[in-house]
Amino acid sequence: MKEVRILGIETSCDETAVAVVENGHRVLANLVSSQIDVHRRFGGVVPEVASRKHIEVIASLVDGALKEAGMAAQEIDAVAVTYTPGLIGALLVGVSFAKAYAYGLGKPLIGVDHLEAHIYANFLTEEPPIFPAVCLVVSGGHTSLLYMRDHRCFEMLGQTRDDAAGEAFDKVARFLGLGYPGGPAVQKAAQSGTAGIYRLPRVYLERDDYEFSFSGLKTATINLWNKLKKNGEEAAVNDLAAEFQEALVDVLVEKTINAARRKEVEQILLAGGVAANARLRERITQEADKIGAAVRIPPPALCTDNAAMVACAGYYQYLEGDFAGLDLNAFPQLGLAVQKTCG
Amino acid sequence: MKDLRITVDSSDKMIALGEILSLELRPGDRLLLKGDLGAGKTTLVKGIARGLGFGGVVTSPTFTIMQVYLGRLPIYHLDFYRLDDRDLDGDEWEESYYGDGVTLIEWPRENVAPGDIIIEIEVMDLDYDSPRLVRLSVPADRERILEVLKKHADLEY
Repeated sequence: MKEVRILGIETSCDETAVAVVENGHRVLANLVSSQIDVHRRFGGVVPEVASRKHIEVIASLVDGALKEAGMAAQEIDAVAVTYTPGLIGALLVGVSFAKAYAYGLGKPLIGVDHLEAHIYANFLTEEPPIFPAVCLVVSGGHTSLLYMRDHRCFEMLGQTRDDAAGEAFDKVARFLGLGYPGGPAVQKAAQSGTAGIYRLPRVYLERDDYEFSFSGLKTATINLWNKLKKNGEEAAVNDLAAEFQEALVDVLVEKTINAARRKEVEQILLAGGVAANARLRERITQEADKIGAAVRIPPPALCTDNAAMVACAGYYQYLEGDFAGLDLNAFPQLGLAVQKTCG
Repeated sequence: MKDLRITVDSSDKMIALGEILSLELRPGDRLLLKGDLGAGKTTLVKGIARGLGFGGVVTSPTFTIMQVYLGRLPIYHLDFYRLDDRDLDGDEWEESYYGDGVTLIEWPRENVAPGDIIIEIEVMDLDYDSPRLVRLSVPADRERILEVLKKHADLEY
């Protein structure tokens, strides 16, 4: 069988990323031009600045990825690009570039859903996951629990009603003065602290569904800190960080395990930047073990935004002949591809 | 500018306030929502979006920067929490304004344009279990917004 090589392009938010993946699992090149330096200088993700930075680096990243893969552009079989969800201006850079590149080469174009791509990071291995599976996507912008029946066949079980898990990490870290990015900062503080000394709510745990809410946990953390300060008590930031992390992880783990048990799946797939959190990895692995399920977590570089996952998701669309026209548009809102019904 | 202060003692009432407020909003309006983390800005947006006929879930746009909800009018929900003061000078600030719908900005910059509606939500005594003090400032020709809110019996003033 002929090898299938997909060029993946990702520009939905902070990172410009380009990758070449062969047969859906062999990563030949995976380049990420992090804008974190730019953001640190500017203090955040500026929509216009982010778009301009994507434009500045995308062409050289594509050249660099092809060079690293040892290929000529013509040897690519298709161009896959994230078209939803994300920041509209940022998405448009990747989509416009991919359209022009695919058209120029006379190769098919594939539009990929960013959330689906995160899950597909678990398929960048010689031993792909087993269906059906339950997938937890946790990042700065997403907290979604999905049931994956087969390739490209997802059922959305639940999502956050307010803040994403990674956002709660970032905001609590900033409030407590722990630094940026918030996930690693809280984790580090928590390692020197003890959960349970302070008590924070496990929001929505009493609800027998798969919805999440982390805004209340964020508020409760801030409120507890303010009250300790007001009462002149010695407030131990590490203990509070540990309790915050534990409360957040408790909810993620219990809801995911409930879904895995009820859906009788053998595997749980973690995805997104928060999947790099050590406490989450430890707890979910322990609990999954109790119900005889295995947890799969991509290596950290494939948990955060990257284009290898886009090329991988694109490969399975390629196999199905699910190509996009040159009228492919960027769509900022969540919820197109993952809500489709399965054939 | 005309002012009104309202005490809101639950998130349900914050949503109700948003729904009532939405009745007076029209295309081109831009609302600047100020307040500390957890004050209730996104909760107020949930009410405004619901009042404008959007039936879906409104989540925090902190990471996405902007979300669009299609109600009776398009609702542009922006969040500049991750942005720095220097980021949104001039053009970039002006671009955060959409004439065909209602623009709601959390963590706005200090630049205020004529016509902006400003909503400040204060957590009293920094105690999140206590009510919120909501201060609305509207341009003189939009005083009707305050009249309508005053009329609503469920909200205490």
